[in-house]
Amino acid sequence: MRFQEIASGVFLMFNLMVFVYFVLLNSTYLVLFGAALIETRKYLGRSRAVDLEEVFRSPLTPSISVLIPAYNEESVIIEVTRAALGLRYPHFEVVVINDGSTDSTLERLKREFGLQRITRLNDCKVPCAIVNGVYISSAYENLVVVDKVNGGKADALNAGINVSVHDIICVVDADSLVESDALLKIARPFMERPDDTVATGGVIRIANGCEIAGSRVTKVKLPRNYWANVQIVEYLRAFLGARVGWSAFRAMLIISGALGGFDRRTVIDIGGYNRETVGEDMELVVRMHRYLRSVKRPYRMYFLPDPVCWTQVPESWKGVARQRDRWQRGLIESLNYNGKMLLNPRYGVIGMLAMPYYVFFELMGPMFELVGYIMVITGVALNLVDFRFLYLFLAVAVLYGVIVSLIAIFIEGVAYGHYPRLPALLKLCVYAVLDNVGYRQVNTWWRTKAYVTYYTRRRKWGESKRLIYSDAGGAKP
Amino acid sequence: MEYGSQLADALVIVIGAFLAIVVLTLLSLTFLRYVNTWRERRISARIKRIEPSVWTVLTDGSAPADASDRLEGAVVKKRDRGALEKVLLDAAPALKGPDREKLTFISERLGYVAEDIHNVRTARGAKKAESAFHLGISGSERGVQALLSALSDSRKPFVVFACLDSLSHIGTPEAIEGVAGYLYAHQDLRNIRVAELLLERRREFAPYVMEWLKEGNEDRNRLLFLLRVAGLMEDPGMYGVIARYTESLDAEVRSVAARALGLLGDPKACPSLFRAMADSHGLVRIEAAEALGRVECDGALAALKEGLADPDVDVKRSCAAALNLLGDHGRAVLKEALQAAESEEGQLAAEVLETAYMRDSNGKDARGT
Repeated sequence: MRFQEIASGVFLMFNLMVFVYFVLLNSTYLVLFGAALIETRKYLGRSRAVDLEEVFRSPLTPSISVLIPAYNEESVIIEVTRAALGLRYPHFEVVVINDGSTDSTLERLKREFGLQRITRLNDCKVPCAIVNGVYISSAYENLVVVDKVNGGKADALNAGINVSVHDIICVVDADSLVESDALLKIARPFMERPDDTVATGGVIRIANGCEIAGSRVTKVKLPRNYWANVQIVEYLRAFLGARVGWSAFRAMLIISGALGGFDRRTVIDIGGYNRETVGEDMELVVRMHRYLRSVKRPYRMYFLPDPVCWTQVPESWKGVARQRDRWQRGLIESLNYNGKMLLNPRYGVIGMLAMPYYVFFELMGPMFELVGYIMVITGVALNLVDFRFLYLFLAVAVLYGVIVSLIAIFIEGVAYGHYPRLPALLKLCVYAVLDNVGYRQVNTWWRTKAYVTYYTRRRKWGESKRLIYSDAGGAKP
Repeated sequence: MEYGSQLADALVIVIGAFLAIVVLTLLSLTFLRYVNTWRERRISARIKRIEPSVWTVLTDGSAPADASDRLEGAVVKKRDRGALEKVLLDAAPALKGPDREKLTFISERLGYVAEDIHNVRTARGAKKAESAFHLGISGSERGVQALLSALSDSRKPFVVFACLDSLSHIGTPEAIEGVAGYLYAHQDLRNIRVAELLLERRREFAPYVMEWLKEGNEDRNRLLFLLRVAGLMEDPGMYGVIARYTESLDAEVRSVAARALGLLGDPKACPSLFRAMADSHGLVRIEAAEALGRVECDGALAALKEGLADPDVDVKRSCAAALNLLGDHGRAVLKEALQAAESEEGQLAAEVLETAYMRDSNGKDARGT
């Protein structure tokens, strides 16, 4: 048999494998998104019958500690803290944790809120770096600021957990603006099923381009920047599709660090956040599953598609690349730490469904996809490719991707309507296509590169260029 | 090769057709949504237009029959029927006495109540729940039977809650009996909405809660729920039945009972709370200390002072906070503890006193806790 024939056979086999992989991956997405559609319909039905005023008025509404970890956030910290203090909720405290910032984050907080240092018993329920001081505000009864030695985001959150006093903790990123009724919605499952609810997560939306006034998003608009728009489609897909879908299967492995509510006692029981990972949000949730299933405690985690938190996303390819690199490393670490759950029937749907999905599609996917691109290019160069098959493969890959994005945009348009103008939705549909041509490929490259940085770079805060939330004109660079 | 090529063609056609159908479905549904939004905007505009005149009719002291005629004919045109119902429903919570009765009369007279009763009997899902809510808001006693039968037929939680809520709002003995009976038969219902419902009509429901607690409960979570609600009912008769549970074998039940006694605020609870301060479980001692800060008990000061030396830091913190709540005498004990500045007690005393000083010295913004 000639070399050309053998090589051609190998390429054909490989192409078939890649084809099957893509169909499997995207079919999984379709199943998840189908579940998301059903779940969204159910959720909206339930929400219609629930009056948030009741939650607000009820004496049984649990108290919440809102934790905001901050590292060099001088440009946004005042706005974000004000937004948190203005949340509509009957009993809550806001705990801002300054993780050894080298800029004027702490000074600004002190000046703006009239902070004064108080004695605080160092009661370490979960491990964290040394706390330099605890401050309370002379103007706001429910504001506490913790100043500590730099130790990373997970470490800062652990310090916040130690200082917080309420039964539920709600984690909010320092570059995010939480909608005023988000806490009421986050707390609802804890009230409706107090016996077994341990975590709830909310939707993160992108504030770039929006109009902001009084620390609130007042008008939702699409940005002009390509990177921001393409990420909007990506976020819609991730939050309104995949996470709602996984939540329907009770197999949610991620609650975003930008907005998530947790039962404080359970978090303390598992030792708080893992300080050795950059993906502390996912790792915490996976470990919660692991612990609660190990001790056979019945529990529920909910993803709620309408408590909204607005965040900024990077508007340059470098910023997006850094962020994706960090996320992928976080994924690798989380799966690595909890690898024993993989295909382990003891962990039920988590071990048998969610973990395999994350390992085979999210973890190995970028590598597999990259190798696929390389093989196709090599095959074309060596004239080994059946072009009809190649076109078919590309058509399926891109169109499946587009369909999945369109379903997410559809859920947004029909169920939530944050983008009330039809042109905005149509623009998002265009980006649903652009997302699959170009962005997806570079994203694959960044995520593959993360394997290298995983072994070479030490854990640290994700430093990205912040935009300033301005009352006058939205997010400005 | 020929076969492979045909297969590829077939696959392209099948996948293409499938994707085209999905895209068309998505686009048409999105379009429908925009049509709906447009209709909603028109209804909102109508509501805005008729709202002031409806309010005038509702609050001008006119007779209900006269008001109803004016609304039906002169004030509001027939095409505004949906908008009028919305305005009436929105107005209901703000109206009291004769104005409220007038609204109920108008809802009956204009046929809204009959429509809602019909929907509660025949509709399904969200429409059934919505109409059930409307009956509760309009407060029509005619709706009780329909709501009770919907309650026994429906399994959808949001319909069940809508019916329970409305029956509780209507509040006739038959409606209250129906709600209590349903809650007794469905012990898994123990969420915030049920609590809210029980607390909104605490006078009517307190005897039932007391009875359920007396009976005891095998379902631990249900028991905890009832104890939490009982503490908030502000019914002096509850004391005895709650105090019984401070001697439960289950530490969480004991702690929730201690908290409930604190919320009740009845000094008769003091002996039970002192006993709880000596409990072997930290959680119970925390709640007992907090409760002692609320209830005026002779000897609370001494018990809390002793609690400052508790081996559990959380109990110490709870005692320090409770001492602060007891006013000058409690703060004097905390100041005494300050002498041992390096000890946990000293640091906790400093923490509580400094925080209290900050709060007392400004007290400008009382948002949150």
